[in-house]
Amino acid sequence: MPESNFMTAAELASAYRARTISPVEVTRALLDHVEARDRFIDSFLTVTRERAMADARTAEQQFMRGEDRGPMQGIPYGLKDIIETAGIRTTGQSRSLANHVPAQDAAVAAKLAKAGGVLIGKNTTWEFAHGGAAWDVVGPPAHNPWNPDHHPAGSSSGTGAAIAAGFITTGIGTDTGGSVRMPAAACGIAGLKPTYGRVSRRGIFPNSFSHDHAGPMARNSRDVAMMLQVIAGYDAADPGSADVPVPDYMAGLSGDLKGMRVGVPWDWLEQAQCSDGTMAAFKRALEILESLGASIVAVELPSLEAFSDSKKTIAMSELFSIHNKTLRETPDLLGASLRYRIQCGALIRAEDYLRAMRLRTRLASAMQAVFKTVDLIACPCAEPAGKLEKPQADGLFNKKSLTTPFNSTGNPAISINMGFSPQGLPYSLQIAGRLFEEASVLRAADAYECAAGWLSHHPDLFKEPVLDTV
Amino acid sequence: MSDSAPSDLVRVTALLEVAEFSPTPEQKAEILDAYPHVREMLARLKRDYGFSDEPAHVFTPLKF
Repeated sequence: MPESNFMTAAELASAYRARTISPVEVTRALLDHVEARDRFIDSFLTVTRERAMADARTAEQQFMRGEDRGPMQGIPYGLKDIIETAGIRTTGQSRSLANHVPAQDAAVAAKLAKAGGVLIGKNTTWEFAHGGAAWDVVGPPAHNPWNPDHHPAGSSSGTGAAIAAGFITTGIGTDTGGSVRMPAAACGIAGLKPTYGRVSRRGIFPNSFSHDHAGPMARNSRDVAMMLQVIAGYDAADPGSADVPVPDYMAGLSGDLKGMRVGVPWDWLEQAQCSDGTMAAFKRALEILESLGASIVAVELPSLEAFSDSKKTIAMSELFSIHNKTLRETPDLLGASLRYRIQCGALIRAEDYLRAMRLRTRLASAMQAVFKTVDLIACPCAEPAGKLEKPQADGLFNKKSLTTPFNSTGNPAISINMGFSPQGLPYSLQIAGRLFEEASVLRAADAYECAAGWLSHHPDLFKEPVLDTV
Repeated sequence: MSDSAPSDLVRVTALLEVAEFSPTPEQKAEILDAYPHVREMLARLKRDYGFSDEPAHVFTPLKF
């Protein structure tokens, strides 16, 4: 049995049902772990100790009565602080909402509560999931548990850091240009952006309506599949929600990739200026995928710059519209970094916006055409995390993102651990799939993780056990 | 205030006026700093769109 704070959701679920460990013991231990060590990484804005213990006691009583609510029963989780929680402060990391206490749960929060999950707290994010690391917002930015001098990427930064540190077993992030996958990459965990419309965004602060996704994060893709099973599904209250049947995500985790065709967009890797270390790790990952039965083929896609131009033009317009009132009336309540990023939306004309939307149509068509020839697309997700510092203003426009294309097209994509740099920071592998075929993405991610064996590594600073298992 | 070209200042001022957005001097300086990047990005969006090139204004991924 691994140290309890690094047990996976699947391991906890099994141990609960075997009565070898209890949700109350686990929750108390994780809360103590957070209290003792979150000062190193600032991954929580609000720790919900009383709610967590109440959730854990409820789960324990349900197990005692033989009442089984499914895979998330008794499983600790965190929510990014742009996800509304009834009666619990939800700030979006912004001083403009410092005292905002919602009356209702977001759809994902309600589903996890109903499934018997244990809410440990609300995790640090970038201001309104967009501002970058900032020191002039509601709380300090999160740090990377593998090296607190480094950032955990964003914007679901606290969720990624807290999972890697063993503070929570699972969490929910949101992803508009890579904000689930980038922190998963930086922190060496798994994070899935599902297909656009697969998971309801009702009750989540918007970033860019037409690019926003909510998605599960965990230490491995098996746990991500368990969590997706609970949060996926149609919601008429979310205009972007899709009424598409939800399959059994665990059923396809077979451990092999026989017959699967994996496309690699080699041009993207050059455009993103992937480092030698990342390229070497990626080539080793492709060898593992091949050894599991996949065939690797080269594919061609539109440039990363085209995806970026379309997404940023649309997103800046939508952001300006969303934050219009605050920007005009109380701009000092917004952090400088977010303000810089959204006020440029005032410069975009209707014709520019429509050009970006027309380009998006072409990009989506090109992507789906490639997915008629391959089952999956694989590439690195991001470079290992850099130092935690104020973001450079021009980085907003010049950075070539390997994650954004799948926000433009809506395809599901996951980031998983792909090993470690000589400095001990995680490399990351991104695997994307056809629309609504999250099961294929999860199958490949799980098979790779089991074969590669990176998941037994945990950050030194957080390794000390907090609970003896029976 | 940045050392933006006079034409940028004129364009940005006009665009902000059309948007009915009156930023503080500090904000206007930030916008002027960003404008060259925005202008280049928007220029790259100009392509040979035809009458039938429909924008993804109601984005439904299944339709592609």
